[in-house]
Amino acid sequence: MKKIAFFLSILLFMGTLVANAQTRDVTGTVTSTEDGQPIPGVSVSVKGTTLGTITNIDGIFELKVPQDAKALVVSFVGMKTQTVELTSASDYTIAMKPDLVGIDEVVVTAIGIERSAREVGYAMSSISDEQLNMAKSPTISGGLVGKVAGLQITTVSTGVNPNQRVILRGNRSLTGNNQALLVLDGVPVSLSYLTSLNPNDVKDISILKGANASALYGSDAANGVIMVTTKQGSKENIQVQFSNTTTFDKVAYLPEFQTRFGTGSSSDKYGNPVFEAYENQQYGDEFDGEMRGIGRPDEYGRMQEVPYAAIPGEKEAFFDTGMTIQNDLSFSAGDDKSTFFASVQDAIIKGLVPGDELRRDAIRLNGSRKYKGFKATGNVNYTHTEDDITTSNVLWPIYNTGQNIPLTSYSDWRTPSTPEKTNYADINHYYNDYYNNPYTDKDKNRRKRRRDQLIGTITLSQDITSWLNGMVRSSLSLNNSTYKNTHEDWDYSYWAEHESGRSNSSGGDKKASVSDGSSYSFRWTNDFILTANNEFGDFKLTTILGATTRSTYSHHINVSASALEVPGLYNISNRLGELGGNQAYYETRRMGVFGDLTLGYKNFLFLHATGRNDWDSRLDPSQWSFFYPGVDASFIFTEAIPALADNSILSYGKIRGGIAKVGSININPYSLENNFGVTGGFPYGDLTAHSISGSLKNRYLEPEFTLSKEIGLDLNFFESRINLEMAYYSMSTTNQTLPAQIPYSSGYSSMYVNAGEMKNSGIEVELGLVPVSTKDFRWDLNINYANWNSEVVSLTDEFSELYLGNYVYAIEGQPYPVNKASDFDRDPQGRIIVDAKTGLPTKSTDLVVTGQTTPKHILGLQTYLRYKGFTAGISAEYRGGFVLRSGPGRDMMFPGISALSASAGRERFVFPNSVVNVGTADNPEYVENTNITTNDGNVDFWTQTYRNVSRPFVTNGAFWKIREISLYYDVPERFLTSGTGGFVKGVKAGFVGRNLFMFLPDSNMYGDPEANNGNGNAVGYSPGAAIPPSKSYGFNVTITF
Amino acid sequence: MKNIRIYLLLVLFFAGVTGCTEWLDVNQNPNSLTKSTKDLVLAGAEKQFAQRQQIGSGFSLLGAWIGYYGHSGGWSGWNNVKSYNMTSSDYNGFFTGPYLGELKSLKYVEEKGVDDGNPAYVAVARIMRSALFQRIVDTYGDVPYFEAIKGFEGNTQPVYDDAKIIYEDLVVQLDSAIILLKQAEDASLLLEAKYDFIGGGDLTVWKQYANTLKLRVLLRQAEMSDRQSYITSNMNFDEAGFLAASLTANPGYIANQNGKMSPIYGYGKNYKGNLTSANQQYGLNIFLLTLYNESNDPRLQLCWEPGVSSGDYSHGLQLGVNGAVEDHWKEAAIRMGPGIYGTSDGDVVVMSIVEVDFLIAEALARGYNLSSAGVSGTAKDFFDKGIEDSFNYYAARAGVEDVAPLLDGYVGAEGSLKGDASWDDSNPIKSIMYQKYISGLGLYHYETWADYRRTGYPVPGDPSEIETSMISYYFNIVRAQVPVRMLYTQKELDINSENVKAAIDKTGVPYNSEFIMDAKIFWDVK
Repeated sequence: MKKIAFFLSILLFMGTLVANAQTRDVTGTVTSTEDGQPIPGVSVSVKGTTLGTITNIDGIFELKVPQDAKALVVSFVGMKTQTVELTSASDYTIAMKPDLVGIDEVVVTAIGIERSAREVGYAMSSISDEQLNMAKSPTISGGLVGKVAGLQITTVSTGVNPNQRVILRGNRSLTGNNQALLVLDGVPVSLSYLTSLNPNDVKDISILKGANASALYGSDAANGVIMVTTKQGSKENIQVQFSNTTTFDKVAYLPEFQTRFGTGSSSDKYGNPVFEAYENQQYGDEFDGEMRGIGRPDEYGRMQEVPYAAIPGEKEAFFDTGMTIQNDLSFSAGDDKSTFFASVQDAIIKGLVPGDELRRDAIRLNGSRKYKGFKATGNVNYTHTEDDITTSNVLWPIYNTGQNIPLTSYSDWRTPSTPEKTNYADINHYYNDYYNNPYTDKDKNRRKRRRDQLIGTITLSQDITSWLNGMVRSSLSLNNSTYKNTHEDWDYSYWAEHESGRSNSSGGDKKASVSDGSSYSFRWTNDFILTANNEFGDFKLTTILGATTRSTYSHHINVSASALEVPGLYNISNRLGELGGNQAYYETRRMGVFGDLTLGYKNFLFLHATGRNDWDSRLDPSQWSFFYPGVDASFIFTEAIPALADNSILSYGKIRGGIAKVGSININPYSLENNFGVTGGFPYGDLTAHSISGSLKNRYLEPEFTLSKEIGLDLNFFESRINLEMAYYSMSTTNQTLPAQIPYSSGYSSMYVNAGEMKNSGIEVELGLVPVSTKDFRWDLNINYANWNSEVVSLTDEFSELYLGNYVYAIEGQPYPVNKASDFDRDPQGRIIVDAKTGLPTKSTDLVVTGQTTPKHILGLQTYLRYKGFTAGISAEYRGGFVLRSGPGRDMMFPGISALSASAGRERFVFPNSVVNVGTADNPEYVENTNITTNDGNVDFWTQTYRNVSRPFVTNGAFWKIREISLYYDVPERFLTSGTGGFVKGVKAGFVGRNLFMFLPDSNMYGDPEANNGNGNAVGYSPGAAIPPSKSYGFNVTITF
Repeated sequence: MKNIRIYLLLVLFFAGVTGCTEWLDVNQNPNSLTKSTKDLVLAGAEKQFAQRQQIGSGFSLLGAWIGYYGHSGGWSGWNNVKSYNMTSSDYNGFFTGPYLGELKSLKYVEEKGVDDGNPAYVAVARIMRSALFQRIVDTYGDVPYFEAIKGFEGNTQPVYDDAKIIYEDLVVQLDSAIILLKQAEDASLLLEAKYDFIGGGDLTVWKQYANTLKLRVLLRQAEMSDRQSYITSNMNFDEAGFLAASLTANPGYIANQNGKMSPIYGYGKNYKGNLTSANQQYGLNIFLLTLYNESNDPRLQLCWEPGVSSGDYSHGLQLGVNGAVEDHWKEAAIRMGPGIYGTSDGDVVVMSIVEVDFLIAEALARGYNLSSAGVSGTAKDFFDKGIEDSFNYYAARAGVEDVAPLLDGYVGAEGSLKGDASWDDSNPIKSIMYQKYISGLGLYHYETWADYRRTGYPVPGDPSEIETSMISYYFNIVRAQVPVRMLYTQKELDINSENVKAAIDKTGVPYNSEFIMDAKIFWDVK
């Protein structure tokens, strides 16, 4: 806290001196042309200087202006900025027109430079605080889903600590990073902050979609930029805001389970399923509702008996109702020279898995101060997160629990059995011979983590002359986390170990183990920027020259003990045997110099050119310098063509286009030199040994280059009642860094080369409609749509296919990435061939391409209705045109819990839509199979013949989701004035819901297609081991003082 | 004032740019080594090599195929093993393990040995490489040999060499290794004993190993009538003779220490001393049990532990039988004992004296002259010695000190040795192969598979003879015989396809077909 206090004092110390020269006083009143009412808070400044003030509650301003001042600039959010010529008069009446179109709105572009929207020659979307926090998502990424054309946010992990993959305009790099760059208040930071920053601190988010937009951020920005600007104090009175959001999560969208068959793993010699009392698999006989013993008889001769019938909802009931409680307090203040914003957030998240919990506390302080031509801004954000979660994969043992087993009755597994009463939940008596009680598993295997994140930025700028400004910015981002994984010991009773015959316990006791780790990362960015503004008649020239450096350093260390002597003490000093562990350091440095030139003509034609040279430590000195340029243009034809000006239909029209090249380095540090590893198992005492690593390195790797082109059209009709923005882009990324696979017989598994090309194009449409707008009622409808086309043009000379992991590939001539799966042998018509004797299909030798795994289409819809104090919003999203390989689908086949595994009643059946070959092997003749049944319809068929082929588990990934629903009520000010005497300025309360509805095609019986294994490029596989998805709903109250 | 600010900033800026080369130069790897020594790489290679000799990729797969064990009920999987139906993605470790592992390390050791002028390193690298390539050829036939491990030199499409030509080169390499070892001895250039934990720095042991490997390479071709003159002309050995004791390796395995234990122990217990799931899944095969029972062989009790439910040795498993059959249930299965998996810090056997005994017995039985290696005695002498060494090996592991009565009850005055495994003067090869088979459990599954292929012993029986057959009884079986080679690996088919195709064409089997598993290696003429 001392440091923060010190920082604050610096901010406050930055004087309050006022310019004092030869001045005169002017006064005035600012009103609105709409209703003639005065407007408070309007910024009035002397043109060409930093002198200024704001209007008071009655719209009146007073200002000392220099004798030589020529004009006043009057600006206000939502109004057209005006320049008022100063005459000898001292009192002015200024009427402001509403700016419905927003073209003069100032937008924040690359490196924090504010530009007028009309100048921007590339695709850019903005999301306001209100849109982002419509349903009070606890993360920024959650609040962005479905709201921006061209932005794909994919769920990577659920649970209390979610993770997402964030992609703009699809993938460019075959193996490298394709995720967007996150820029926080002008400084690039780790994308993980999208899930850890407080969304309520966000003022707005600008999304620069293409490489065109972002040449100035350097390599990382090839994937587009998400620019988050946090709140600065407003130039109004002091405002204090308190907000509470409480939401509840219910497990949802689980796959379909079968409800007909109980525990068993085999058939008798007549092919009938056999019940087994202690089996994890569910290939037993059909439920009959009679009482049956489960598990094994215990040492007292007792056996648990339950009805032999499925228990509805038992699997879902394992999960708790999750809860998220967010409390926010913010304080903002400002005057015309300084701003101040402070916020505190406390978020407590209780997970779906009983016992999982996360708590996050965040503090933000933003302040700025002007002094003549000097301005200082400081932002500090500190976040502390603690979580405690299970590391066991709870779904897998749940799938391996029979439908007739009263799962939720086993939660109290710690109470020991006594001769009087057996606790069938304990580790000695749990019914399942092969899988542990999921409650025991989750309690015994846990991870506790603490994380501290600090971001601090200081920006100093100085007007050097009236047209030249210099800025220095330094930003530090620190991330420190420590974790402890613990695995409790398993102490079985003598009976369980030696006499019960249970597989679980006959392996013997297991000692406890622990691993501790810590991870530290540091990123320091410095920018130095000179900005020049010159005007020559109708021409306006903005020149930016800059230099930037960034250094990163990270250190990860892990120590572990695989056996602990005394249970309960999770410390490596308590270990038996050797200490395990590893560590890694990474350091990178890079620097860049850049120039950015904008030439405007008469405020309707803008040309913009950029160029940048980077130096990057990850490459060899002979390759580490690389240059990339970009140009774009914007033309506001409604203003350039006199015939179009001031027409009543088309209010505004802009056409734009750009072309840019961006270099990027998609290798880790230390990827240039071959290395040795310590041979597995070594060291043994004082003997160690080395082996040569399996990948051949390449010292002279070069950057990848993306060339991107885009054109766009913005049209605005009827003064913003209809707003249409369209963009088309095409990109080509060449010289990719590929770990080319080489035959193992060469001694190596891969070799790094620069090769390959990927093409990528798409359209983006954003349509904003205001069908109704009256004094009390307003209806907004925003539609966004994006379509992606990708093609792997080439890989290397030797191979045309690259495996990316998760069963997905990059294949020449195919979209990127595609899933490949094993299939059944099929006849030329695509029907499955079964053996004439066994009735069984056979697995084909080659894998088949089943489709692309990233959506080809995403459609987002948001609608807002406002009626007096009520606001309702709905956000929905559709994704389609892709396939997904379902991990749960295949996983559930093994235990036999999936609905599909019971679809033929566990009896021999004619494989649907199958054929038999009645010809010869060389001259096949296929006829429809109507009567040859499979030789088995139970465990062997479903867990082997069927499960060994992966095509059945690849499903259409399309879905519609109602992402967010909200309904708020703003208590009218008059009630507050009368009720609290004006102490309370605003009260807003409402209902929020997230992911309440999902609609899937009938062909998908595996549940939510959104989950993805890992946040790498290999999307398209939903892991079986995930925490299931959820629906959440709750309420929010915001009080403003 | 303004100008000073600009200049100051510019000076700072250019100072930064000019210092950038040094500032940017932070790409030295702090996490992995970029340099090593021939000793350290040799030690790593020896560990991987030794482990591959006793266990390798074939311990469980071949152990099941050649009738040592079956899979007990209550466990899923193993379908490709039970059905003899591999794909080109299964068990690739036979191929990728050595090429990606110690073959590459040995190339480094050999090159460094040449650079440093120490022929001993060159020699041991060649000896181990020859042992590895014999098995790679035995598994696949034609494989990359002369152009192998040349990725660093830029050859990423190694040609597949003819199996017989590779075999001939192995003999040349082993002979050259012995010459190099003599040169090293003459120049007093030794191996560091600490890193050479297979040979302990003793070059004589390496000469003996080279001799024994040469004998093994030649005997593999012994059934080929057109190779007899080649074999006879190469039956000359260095005077160091054959291995006189088991060649073992132990880099310093640590008892009950996760990841540091003797690798074969993992087939029995884990570091906590608990039974591993492998030990619960593999049970004694009915085929081997029948052979044990025929002669009342005490190795049954030395190697195996009785079934949990039966408490006796009654339930042998037949490979591929549905686990629901009562006798095949996991609790009935006869489990591996310490006679097989030893102690948690025990040695790994690179080449067992048992194998050496039977190799000599076979060579003598076939009438080859081993006098250059100083061998005296008859085939029967070495047959008997093989049995005795086998008893000693298992007994030592099982903690049984007094072997004499057991041996006496088997082959001595009280002996009950009968049937195929007893000495038959009219067919000594059969007797040797049966004993070598029984003695191979846990020691050299790979050699057993090779001997079975080249001699036809032991006779596997028909799968329908469910009480005695070695052949799988799996319901979905693809072929009713043990596969005689493995499929080329998928990655070679994908990206070294021209060269693999040429090798497959020679077998006459269609490209990418599983029937290559029935295509015999050149020495497999039975």
